[in-house]
Amino acid sequence: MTGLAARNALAWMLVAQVAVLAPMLLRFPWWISVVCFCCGLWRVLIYQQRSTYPHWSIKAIFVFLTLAGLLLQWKSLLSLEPWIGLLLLMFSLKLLEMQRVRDVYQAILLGYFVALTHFLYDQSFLSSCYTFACVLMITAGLVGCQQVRADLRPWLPLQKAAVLIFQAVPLMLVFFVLFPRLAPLWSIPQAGSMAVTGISDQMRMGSISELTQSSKLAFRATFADRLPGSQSLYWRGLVLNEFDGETWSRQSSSHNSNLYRSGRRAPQWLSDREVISEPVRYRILMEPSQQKWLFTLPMVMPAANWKIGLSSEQHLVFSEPIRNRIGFNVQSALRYRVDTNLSQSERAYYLRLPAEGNPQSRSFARRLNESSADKQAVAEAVLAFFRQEQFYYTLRPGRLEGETIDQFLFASRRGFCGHFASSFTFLMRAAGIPARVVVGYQGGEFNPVGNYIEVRQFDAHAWSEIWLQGLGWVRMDPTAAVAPERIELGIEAALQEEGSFLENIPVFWLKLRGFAWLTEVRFQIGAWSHYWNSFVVGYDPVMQLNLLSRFWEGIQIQDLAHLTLLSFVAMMFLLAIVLLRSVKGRHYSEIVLVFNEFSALFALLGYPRLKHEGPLDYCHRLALQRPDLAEAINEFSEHYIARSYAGDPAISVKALKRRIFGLRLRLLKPVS
Amino acid sequence: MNAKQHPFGRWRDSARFRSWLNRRVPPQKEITLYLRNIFILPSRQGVYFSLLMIVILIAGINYQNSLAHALAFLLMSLFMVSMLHTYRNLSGLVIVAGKAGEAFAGDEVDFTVTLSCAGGRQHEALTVYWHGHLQTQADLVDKSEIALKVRTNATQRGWFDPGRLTIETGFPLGLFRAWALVDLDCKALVYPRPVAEDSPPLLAAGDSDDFYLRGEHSDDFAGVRNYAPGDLVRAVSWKASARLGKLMVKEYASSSGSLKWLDWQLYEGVDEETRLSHLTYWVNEFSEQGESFGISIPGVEIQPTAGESHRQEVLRTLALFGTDAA
Repeated sequence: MTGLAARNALAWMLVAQVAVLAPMLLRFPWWISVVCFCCGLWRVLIYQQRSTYPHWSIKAIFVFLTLAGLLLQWKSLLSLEPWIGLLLLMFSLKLLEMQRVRDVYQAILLGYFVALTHFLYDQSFLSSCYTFACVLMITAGLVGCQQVRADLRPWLPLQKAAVLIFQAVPLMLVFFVLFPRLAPLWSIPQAGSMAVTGISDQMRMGSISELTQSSKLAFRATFADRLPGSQSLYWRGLVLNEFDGETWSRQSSSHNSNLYRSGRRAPQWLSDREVISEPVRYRILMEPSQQKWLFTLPMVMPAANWKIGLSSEQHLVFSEPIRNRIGFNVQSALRYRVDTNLSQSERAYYLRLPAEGNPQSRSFARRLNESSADKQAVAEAVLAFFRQEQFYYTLRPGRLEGETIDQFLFASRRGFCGHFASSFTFLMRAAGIPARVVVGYQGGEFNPVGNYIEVRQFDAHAWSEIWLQGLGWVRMDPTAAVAPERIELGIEAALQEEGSFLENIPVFWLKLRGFAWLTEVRFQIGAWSHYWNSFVVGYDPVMQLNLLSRFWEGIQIQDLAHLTLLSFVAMMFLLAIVLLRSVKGRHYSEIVLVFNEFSALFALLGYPRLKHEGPLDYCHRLALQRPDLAEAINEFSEHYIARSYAGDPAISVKALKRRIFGLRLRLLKPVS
Repeated sequence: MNAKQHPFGRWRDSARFRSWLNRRVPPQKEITLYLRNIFILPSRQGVYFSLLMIVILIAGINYQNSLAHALAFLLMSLFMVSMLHTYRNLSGLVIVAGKAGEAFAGDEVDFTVTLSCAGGRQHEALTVYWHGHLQTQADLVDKSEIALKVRTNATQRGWFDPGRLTIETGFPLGLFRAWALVDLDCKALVYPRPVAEDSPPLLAAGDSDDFYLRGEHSDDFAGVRNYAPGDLVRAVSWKASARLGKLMVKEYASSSGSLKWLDWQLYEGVDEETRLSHLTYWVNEFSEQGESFGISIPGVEIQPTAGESHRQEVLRTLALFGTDAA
């Protein structure tokens, strides 16, 4: 292949290239887009014959500059980004030498590779549809390279590519389901620069309210049997146990650093857990957050997956930051008793406060402690304080500085869940009650179509846990005392008056919940996206074996390989039959087909049409050989001849077909 | 496509391969392509494509990315489906050898090859060529028959066998190359290579003066011809000479004329092929000028006359001189 590429192939290739580059360029530094744009513009000028191909020295300078740019941008080559950047740049620079058919082929192969990188960043349903559309266009470029007279049929490449992909899909599906899914063959650089989303392991007074401006999906939970009430839907993420006067953060200490993984030796704290109610079973499909925290209802049971550890603070931790969507099955006992025997050192640990600061709050706590009968009464008193005083649940709390707890409790009294949890826990510790802040999500929206609970970033929440003698850790949600509707109806209802919910997103359609049909559509789309994520994106080795063992008890990975091979052969055989069967029939007009049908009918009866016989001769012979049908045969032949040779418009092909049908019926009837 | 890139390149000339091919695809005037005579292998692009497929699959495995798996499987399925399509693009094609064009040794000769579809399929982007020679591209879309002129070089005079015709296609994706090597059992008659010389080996018939002064007084101007030594200076057409860059002589048609005999015997000390070449040259020259001429070569003597069929008869005699077919 040394010939010049056809213009049609080039045109298709340019279209495909723009389509496949666009989503990647949005994720990469601006200067890469600039380089790509320049190359594209240059190529279009060449295409319009207003410019020529650059000299090799110019190309060399281009390559050198872009390589230097990549190195300056990322400094190391160990992460994935510089390599993808390199791929994008090479793909664009290839434009400047896309001259011969061979170059177009190389560009096309690179194009498929760029399509692959889409999936490393986004596997959602819509984005995948887009990527496969790109694959279609790249394939059209491939067809364009083969086309001889492109000017006559400019759309042929797209049509042909669509047909090919349509025919390839069944085989692809078979492979997708059956091909043995393997564990990673070797470790690879991961996409690293992705933004960390969701709950973080630090909480300042107002930090959670930032999250509530995002409607991004956090995770979906599908319950196996019954659905817990909204008051129980406290999705624990992680525990913050260290306060520096302003920020609650997570400190690893000897108490909470050891994780229990199933199959390992059980640590001592694991025995200090009492299950009171029957555990509920559910499956969480977690969106990538780039963090390790998993969100579950308390009290969570150790997960079967060895990558998921259970911390001594009763939350699950993944073994690495969650870069891809993961799904896991888990159980939680909604009524429980945990850590009833807290050691002295642990107790001291959960009582730690900065040496000074917030004196007003400290003395308030001390007074409450003195006036109350027991520790539980202190907590109740604080909750009553929140309830009775003029506290506002708001997303616009105003800025607090200095003695933040004091200011909040006794001055501003406007706050969000973070303010309430933070000050409540402070008061508890000051009153000598071991306490900690728990961050996670609360509530979620039930999707009746997909039968799951959908938790979004705006459901982020913070609350407290206090330790009481004999009861262990008990959940206390001061926000519920101030704004009970937050827990019962969700954050939107709680903020309805204020109108601050998702206020930064002007036309967000979640706001349009008032319309019933729109809610229905939203549920449908959500459910569809959930199925996509769980069954297509989440199709992993475990799910594969689970699915296939439904049909084949005890299926092994070797069986899968054999099965794949067998179905491959079977599918190819089917495809070959469909594609390669003779298409002679298409040659004949409809009327000839009718006569063929007629002769086929009599051939079945033992009177095949002889090669030398014309239709008329054949019908005469048939009439002689089957006097019982002679009338019908003669009528048919008369009509056929009139239609076929005289072109009589009064006789329709349909009528002829009806006659054959009538003959068929008569033949089927038992001879009387 | 040169011989190197041909999948059978290295051994396509070996005797064993040829005899195998002759058994598998015997020479026929009309050949329908089907399972037995179509070969198909991945093209160079196809090999790269399958490597890409594997790389994408490995990326899918290493990143545990389900959709990368899907992409790899889609490409693999495309590869397999395109194989069937490429095969289908050739199968059902009927190839009939037509007439060969006229050619002199050393020139190009056109063979007319008719492609038609037996199966009612469309055949796209077909490349037809004699091995090592100019490729002709054709589509068989919305028509059931197409006649192509496929060119090759005629090397030797006599009956020229162009060998096997290659019909290949990469359509639709170019990942596979399907081809057929068919022997259409066609031959072209190749005339000897014309070699110019100064004067024709003419055997004077009758009065030589009559020959040289032929028709010059006649009024019927018939054209110009190359100057030959002995032509009268006043017969030279200066206009035509200036235009053509060589001396040309005016000619006048003469009803009586004189008979020209091109005579083999007049060449002395010249080998056979050169004689044939010179004679061919003069046959062309005389025919162009519409002159009557006869020819005499060992064993054959053709009476002087003019016209296209005469020319062809003479050339054919020259082409086959000394060969088995003569």
